[in-house]
Amino acid sequence: MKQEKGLKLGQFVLGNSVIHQLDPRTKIIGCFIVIFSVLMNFKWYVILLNISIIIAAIFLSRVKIARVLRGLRKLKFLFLLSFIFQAVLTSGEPVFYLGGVSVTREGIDLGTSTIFRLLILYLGSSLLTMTTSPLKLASGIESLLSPLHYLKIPVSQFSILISTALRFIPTIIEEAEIITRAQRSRGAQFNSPHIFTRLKSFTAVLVPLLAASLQRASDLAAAMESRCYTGGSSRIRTGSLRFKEKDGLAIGLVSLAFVLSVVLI
Amino acid sequence: MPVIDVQNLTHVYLPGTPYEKKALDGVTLSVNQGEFLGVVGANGSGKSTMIQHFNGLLSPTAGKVTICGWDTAVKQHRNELWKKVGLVFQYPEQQLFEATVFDDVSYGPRNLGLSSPDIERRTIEALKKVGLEPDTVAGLSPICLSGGLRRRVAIAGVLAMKPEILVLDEPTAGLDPLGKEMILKLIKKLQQEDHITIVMVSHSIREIILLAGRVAVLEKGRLIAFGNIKEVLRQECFQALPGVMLPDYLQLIYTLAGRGKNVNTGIITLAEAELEIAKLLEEKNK
Amino acid sequence: MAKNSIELIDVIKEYSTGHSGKKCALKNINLTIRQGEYVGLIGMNGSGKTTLARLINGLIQPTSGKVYVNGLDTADRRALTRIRRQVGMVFQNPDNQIISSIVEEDIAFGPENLRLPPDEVKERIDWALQATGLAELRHHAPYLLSGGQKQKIAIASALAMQPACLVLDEPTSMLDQHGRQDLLLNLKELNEKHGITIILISHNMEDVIHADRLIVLAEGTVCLEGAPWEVFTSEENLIKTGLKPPEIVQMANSLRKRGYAIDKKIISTQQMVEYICR
Repeated sequence: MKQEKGLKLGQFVLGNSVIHQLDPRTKIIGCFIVIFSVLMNFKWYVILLNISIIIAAIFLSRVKIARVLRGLRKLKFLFLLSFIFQAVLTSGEPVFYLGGVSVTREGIDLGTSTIFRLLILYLGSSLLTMTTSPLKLASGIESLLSPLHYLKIPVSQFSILISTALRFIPTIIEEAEIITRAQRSRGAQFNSPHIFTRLKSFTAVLVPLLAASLQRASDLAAAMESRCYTGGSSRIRTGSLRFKEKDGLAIGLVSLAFVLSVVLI
Repeated sequence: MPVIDVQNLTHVYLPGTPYEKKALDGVTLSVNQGEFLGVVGANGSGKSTMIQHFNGLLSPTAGKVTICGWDTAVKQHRNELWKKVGLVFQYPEQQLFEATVFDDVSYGPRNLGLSSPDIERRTIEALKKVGLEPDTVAGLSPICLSGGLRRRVAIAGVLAMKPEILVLDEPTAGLDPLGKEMILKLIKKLQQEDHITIVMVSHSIREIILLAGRVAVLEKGRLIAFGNIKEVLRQECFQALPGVMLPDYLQLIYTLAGRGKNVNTGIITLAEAELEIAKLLEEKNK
Repeated sequence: MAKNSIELIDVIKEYSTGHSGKKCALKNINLTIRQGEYVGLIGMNGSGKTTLARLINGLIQPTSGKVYVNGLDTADRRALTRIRRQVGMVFQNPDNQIISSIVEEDIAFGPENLRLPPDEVKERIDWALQATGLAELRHHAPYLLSGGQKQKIAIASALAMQPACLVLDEPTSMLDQHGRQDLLLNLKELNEKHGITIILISHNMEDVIHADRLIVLAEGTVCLEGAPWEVFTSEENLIKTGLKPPEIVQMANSLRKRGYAIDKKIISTQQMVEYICR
């Protein structure tokens, strides 16, 4: 049953936009710089600056914003929890009381800025994975981490690991859905009040998924070996990565924003 | 009263989104107690969607589905249907997860809340039904078994729940000829000995001919034929269906009929086809 | 060791099974497959077909005996890359062979591993897509495609290595009828038009009727060999291995027993139709 179950979390969207054409390294670096900026300094104008950059990038990438935001639905609990924690645990001027704990103004401020920072983290990484194909992403990571080669760290294997994992996310999600339905058909209770029953039900899905993944790993290894993959660095893929003017401009802009963020602490 | 009653069933996935897909469109059919229904159609015809309505996994977007007298629109009914309707998915051996064969087959009965002696009895019975020797396999880990044996264990897991209706989605997929035969024999035996109602999805007409009484043909979500095998095979729309595997001997008879030869296109088995060809050869020799 | 051929000489393959047991997957295999042949390798599950396939491109090594691909010994580690350039493999599970999220990138994987210049890589991708009829799917995501299309991607990815020979291990077993027929047609074309040796492993008799030669494996040994019609019409021997000829041949065999003279070479529906309508 092959139905398009909508876009999976962070899945690559084919396109020819300015953002798609940027070197993967630019996007990776840019993403990191933006995230780092807001982690370092969470004043509202810094957050505003960085979120504008990201939204501008999303706009330029021509990926529909609705697609990007769809994934947020699954994360709403995380966001809500973070807000509540900050609101309740930050000391300061209390705004109101909620069942014994005080919610402070500073807490609300911090909570709101945390939500926005998480949002930036999510949007930035989604943009990265949506506009960069897994193999390109892998080459980008491999190229950036290549100095680590001298420390005997297997950079190229690591990068192909990431790209292969990304490629299989939709497949594994689909498999999980099928197995869940099959176990539900045998009476597995995923919503049971008893935690033990629920755990057992999840085991009934995780074990087969794991078994399938192991089989998949074995099959993939055979397929890759048959196509002469020897684990070495793919100089062609990384060698064909070239910085162009666009990249310089993009990195320049993002770095400027970073400097501003630091200066305005 | 039929045990499965489908009235104008329509099912739409992800309605209101850009990925909206109508998988079933106004399907009406019914299955009586003890009957064997074959469901045939190409990939994407809606077969897998339809059978998930039979055990309460899905609820209709429009129309009504009544199983053993229960309306599947009611959530309570849907949550209980798994106890009456056993659904064997494609490649069911991929869902084995317990450490031993016994534990996996008894998973269903355990979820039914039966007593330990009952669970044991049913598990052993189910293993015997699929042709496995409980003493030999019960303690083994499913990983040690071959694909064909694992499939039988998975089917035993569903049989152990003693369902009133058994639904199988392409039970012979991926098996070699001997494996296929064994599974088909097993299913036939179940129907003859236990008189369970059986619904079997397949894209092989040969299998349907061997086992089913009536057949439902789906294409792109619509029911385009429903009835006795012989009648359905006679219908024009059916013969031109892509993705449905007609046995070669039927293909032969239909092609010869198309070329103007005097053959009875109402036959359905290999033996009957052979007789027809023999007749043609006799005529030729004269 | 003839050039342009695949040779197995006195090959034995044993596996150790858990507690000091040994299983013999292949016993004394002697085979030669010539360039341009379309060979069908058939047998029940467990007959050793997959083991044989994996010996041919050096994924596994024989316990004793030798496997030569165009004169190269698969036991020679340094020759493995050259061997795998000449023998492409396609496996049973369509999904578990595709490495990238874009069809084009997956096909490029092989040539890139060979360190070929980007222009040549592009040329090979173009050719592979065209030879498998997948040109429109170039930029698609594999996970949204059907099983049959995914298998064709696997074939295209193998073809991008420009092998002289393609080994396919049960490629149709997880496909529906449409995907199966499409794939078999494609293989026939690759063999006839491009001269690629095809070694098709299957347990479906109907898959191999187009082959030039059939090799029947049972319990690790070759028990029958010959043109498809020869193998199918020696029904008793075939049944001993657990296989049955295609239904059309079963019918023809049975009619012959009843005294009707039917040409032994008839093995497909088409041929039977032509014969009767003559």
